[in-house]
Amino acid sequence: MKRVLCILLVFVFSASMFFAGGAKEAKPDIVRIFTNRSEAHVAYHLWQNLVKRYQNEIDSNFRVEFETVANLDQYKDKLKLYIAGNDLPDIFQIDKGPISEELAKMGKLVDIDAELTRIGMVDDLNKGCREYVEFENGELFIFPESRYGNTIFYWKDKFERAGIDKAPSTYSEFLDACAKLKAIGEIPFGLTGKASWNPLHLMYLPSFSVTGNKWIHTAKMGDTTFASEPVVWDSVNFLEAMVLNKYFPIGFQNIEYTDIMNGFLGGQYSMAWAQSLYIPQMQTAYDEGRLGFMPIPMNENFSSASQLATIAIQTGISWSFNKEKYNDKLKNFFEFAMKNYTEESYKLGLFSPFDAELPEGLSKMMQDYYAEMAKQTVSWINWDDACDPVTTQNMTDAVKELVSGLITSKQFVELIDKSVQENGVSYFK
Amino acid sequence: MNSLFRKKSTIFTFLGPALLLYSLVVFVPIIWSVYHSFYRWSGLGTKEYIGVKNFIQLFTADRNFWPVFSQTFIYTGLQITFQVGGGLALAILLVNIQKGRSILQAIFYIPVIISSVAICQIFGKLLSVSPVGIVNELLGFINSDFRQIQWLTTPKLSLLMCAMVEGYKTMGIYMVIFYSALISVPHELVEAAIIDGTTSFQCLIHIKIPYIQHIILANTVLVLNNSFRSFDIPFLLTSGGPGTTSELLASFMYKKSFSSMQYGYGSSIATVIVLICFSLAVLYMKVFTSEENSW
Repeated sequence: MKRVLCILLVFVFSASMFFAGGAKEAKPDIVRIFTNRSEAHVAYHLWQNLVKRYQNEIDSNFRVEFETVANLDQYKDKLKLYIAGNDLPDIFQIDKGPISEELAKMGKLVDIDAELTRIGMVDDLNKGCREYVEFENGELFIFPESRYGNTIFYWKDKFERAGIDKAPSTYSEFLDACAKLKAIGEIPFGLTGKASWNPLHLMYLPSFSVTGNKWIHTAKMGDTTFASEPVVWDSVNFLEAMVLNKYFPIGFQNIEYTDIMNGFLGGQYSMAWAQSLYIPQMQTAYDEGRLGFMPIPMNENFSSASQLATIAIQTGISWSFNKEKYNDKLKNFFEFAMKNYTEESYKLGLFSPFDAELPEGLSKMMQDYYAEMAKQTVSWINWDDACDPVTTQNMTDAVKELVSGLITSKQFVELIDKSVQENGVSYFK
Repeated sequence: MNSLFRKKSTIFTFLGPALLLYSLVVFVPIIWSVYHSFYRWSGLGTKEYIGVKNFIQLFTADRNFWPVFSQTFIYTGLQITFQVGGGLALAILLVNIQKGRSILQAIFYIPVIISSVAICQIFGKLLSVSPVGIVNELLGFINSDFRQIQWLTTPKLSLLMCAMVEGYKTMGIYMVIFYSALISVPHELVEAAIIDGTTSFQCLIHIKIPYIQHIILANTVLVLNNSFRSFDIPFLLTSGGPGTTSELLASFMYKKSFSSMQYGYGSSIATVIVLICFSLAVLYMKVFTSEENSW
């Protein structure tokens, strides 16, 4: 009897351990949106507004849960975790690259082309935006978040005080301008070393301006080497020069990008590489003639070549839908979101990824910037997003070491080539 | 009832569920991780069996592994200094204070219950150089050059700062353990020493600390074990940077597994960490058992 009591007691305790927390309540069907955009990012509010409008106008039972990881490197790590754990969110952000291509091959992503065709909007998508997110075979599984234009913004008054009478048009002029700004006690360029994309983007500019970074599609597979591309050396040496001459803020390796942008907008830094989404915060200073934007400098080592781009057109880390969770409810939301995307974008000062006439009442800065963006014929390509996952991680680690002065430009290029040989070759073949 | 609980079968019956749960959340993942260490897997697609190639690459071809390994050892040494040394110092202070002891105990223990994220945010701002944080602002009154000290982004300093922050957060736990140990030192020994003319400092050095040396040793081994698995403070404070100068084995494993999507390779690093911690646990058992026998 005592033994039976004993066993019963153990069973009750064990059962309570495993089923602790009470009875499970039936959870409503909640759409999980996993995003890199925090409340500090205007695109977060774009999606929030679309959801709210959908709930108010169409379906009040449409429940959504936003999960945000603001640091882009950490966001990508967590997304990879979800992918490996077979727990893809319903809607999430992802870059064009080997991972999204693999997911599409596995049938896990919604065909955005098909969906846009279904709702009659496939031809409305801006060609440049589409090019940024479509795969090499022309398939579209990622919806471009916005039509962003990245370039270098600068404070004109600081340039005037430094004796720089016009925005630099080449990289040697750019470095010269940085030296003059530093000489008058200004911090030439606001850059974060905490998020690898910022130094990487700056590094890509000498290459992008003349090649559009298209050589990456052969280099990533090991068919050519990074070291054999002259533009690679121009790019890496440019970033190294910026580091060695200390043109970045002290301690920038541990400053977040939002703090860098706050610093730039507050006048702490003379220049910054920024997206067009910051235009609403800059337009007053622009209208007053205190702030400007410069075309991407031309790579003077290729003076005989034509400059391919003066603004980097890209769509940011963009949006995919989980095919396994893509039910009628989500299809309806997708249609509503697409049809109202342009209107909601311009309300927040974002350029829509759809071709549409600019609405009335836009600020002068937005109009001027859009005019420059409209001239672009090539989209931005990131070296890191194009490579295999191991080389991507090695590149992000190596650029952090480069900007910390721990490795040289030569070592950086050697590391990347070694990584491509060890990983990229087998990954892509 | 007493006779029932003296039976081994009864004891195992009660221990069984907890042991099962512990096995599921500890042993099974370890075994699974060791299994994956013999494979190449990106998280997508199929796994490829490659034998011990991950370990060979780790020990012979990974340029970051040995620097990270030595950094982990250095970090562990610093943790012993801060956590054990700091905890002991605080406990000695508390033993010698009569008024306000409980308030001070609570204050010293508060960092233990604050989350790592909050601690890192606080210290990130305190040690900031752009904009200038409080630490550099105060040091600037001594010498204006000190305002530019980059605590978290100088290769030699970043690891030290991570160790200090983790020591600050955790030393309260060891303070509590050492305090309990110090107050358990028999009064007769102390009184006899005082009668013999020792000062309180001599009493501390020659009576109390030797008396609790097995506690000190046990805590040292615990700190050793925990430091080898340290992840949160260096990851949140410096992300292992600048470069990889404050990277530890655990964050190195995390990056290889989840950022590089090399789950097999990351599992091999995890296996190495487990083996080191297991060795330390065996050392702890040997030391603790031999100390018990000697007492």
